[in-house]
Amino acid sequence: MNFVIDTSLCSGHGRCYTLAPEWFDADDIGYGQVKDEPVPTGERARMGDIVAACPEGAISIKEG
Amino acid sequence: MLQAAPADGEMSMSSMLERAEAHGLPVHTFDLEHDERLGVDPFAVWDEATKVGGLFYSPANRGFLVAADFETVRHVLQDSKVWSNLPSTIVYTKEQVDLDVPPLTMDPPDHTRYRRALAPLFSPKAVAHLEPRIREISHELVDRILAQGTCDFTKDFAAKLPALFFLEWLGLGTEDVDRMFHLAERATFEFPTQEERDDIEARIDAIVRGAIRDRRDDPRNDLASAFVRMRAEGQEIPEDIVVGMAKLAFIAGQETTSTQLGYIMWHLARNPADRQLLVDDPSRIPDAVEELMRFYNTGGSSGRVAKEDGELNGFPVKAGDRIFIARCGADRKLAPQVQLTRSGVPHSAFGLGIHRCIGSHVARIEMRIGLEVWHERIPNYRVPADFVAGHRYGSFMQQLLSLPLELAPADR
Repeated sequence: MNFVIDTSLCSGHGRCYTLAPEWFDADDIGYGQVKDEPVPTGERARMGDIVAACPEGAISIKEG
Repeated sequence: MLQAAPADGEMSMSSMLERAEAHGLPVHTFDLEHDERLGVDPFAVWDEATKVGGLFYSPANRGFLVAADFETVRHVLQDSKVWSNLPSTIVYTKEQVDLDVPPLTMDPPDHTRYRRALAPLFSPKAVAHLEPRIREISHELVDRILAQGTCDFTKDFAAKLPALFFLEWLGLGTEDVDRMFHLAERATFEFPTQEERDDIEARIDAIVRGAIRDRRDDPRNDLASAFVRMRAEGQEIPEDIVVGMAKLAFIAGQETTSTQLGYIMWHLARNPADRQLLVDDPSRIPDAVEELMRFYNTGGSSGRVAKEDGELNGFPVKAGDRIFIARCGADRKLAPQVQLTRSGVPHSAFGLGIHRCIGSHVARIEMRIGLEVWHERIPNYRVPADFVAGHRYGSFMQQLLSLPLELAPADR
């Protein structure tokens, strides 16, 4: 499992990399980027929180 | 002053109302310019509006649609193709007053070009170095408050921290801080005529233009110098646009953080368990700030005008329709209680879409450090038993007028 950011919706609020710096990074101007780290399966609830916290609704979870 | 709306304005207003009635859209008078309850309990006015529906029509003043739940707010703010910032007016006032604060008062592609130029100056990495200075100013303000022994938080801390920090960063110095803060307040809270609005903007233009011209020959380590160096797609930016963007920074850099801090402390001063949570564990402050911004969303500049026909929640939108974005009500509706430790409920206090508050990362640092320093130095405080909160809603946002605090009361 990992995250996907819809870059057409991301406007750089920074909630993702603030809440989960181990899974997200900020690019040079503060837009979110998914780190190349698979997310452990036991983290489903926290992943849901991060998806919900993005005010733009730009984050989704990719299975597999 | 117009006594009656011009004929075409009247037509489009009545046709908005007719369309609302024909399509079963709720009609609810939502009057941010005149509703006196906004001075007493503004949050009740927002909550009442959200109960009407996610989208409704308000016949107040020139007539406008209101987006009042989070999905509708998000949809409108993300759809800059239909929902334009041109003309840039305050949609809910009786008189149409145009604003000039780029790049907020621009649409793509102009907006995109200048926003890209500004973005590197305000990214989290670019503003991290400001932390020590913000902490220093916070300590100085607390020193002063403790020395005087009494405190009106809105005046002595919330108004001072952003103004002192931001004016210095912008490069304007802080000798004239009270006059500059007053100008930013006028630009945020007055319901001006066009002439008055132009006058306020011209005064701010003159101040920031002076700094920008000065830095062309004498660059320093401040925002004005960075604005001078800024290029848009490799091209020099016309001075009037640089000055306009600095004017927006001048207004938004002072007033927004100030009003938000006032509401955050109003909550903490009335809710001892929440206050104690932050005293005991300051690492909870960032999540608490987000939650309190959501629950006490100060409103923000929130109007759009349809530039083409479209559809919103099944309602047929016509080019020229005005819409007000009721961000505060929408955010509160997501969760009707404050819970400082949660992180999974979003807010729109920094706006959404392409005009998301570019200074949000700086504002967060100011609020976090201000609250860290305050709670480290003054962990016990409360509002006096006889305090009655007064508020005002202006052309851009709402504000708590005063917040007297009893510091370290002996009976705790």
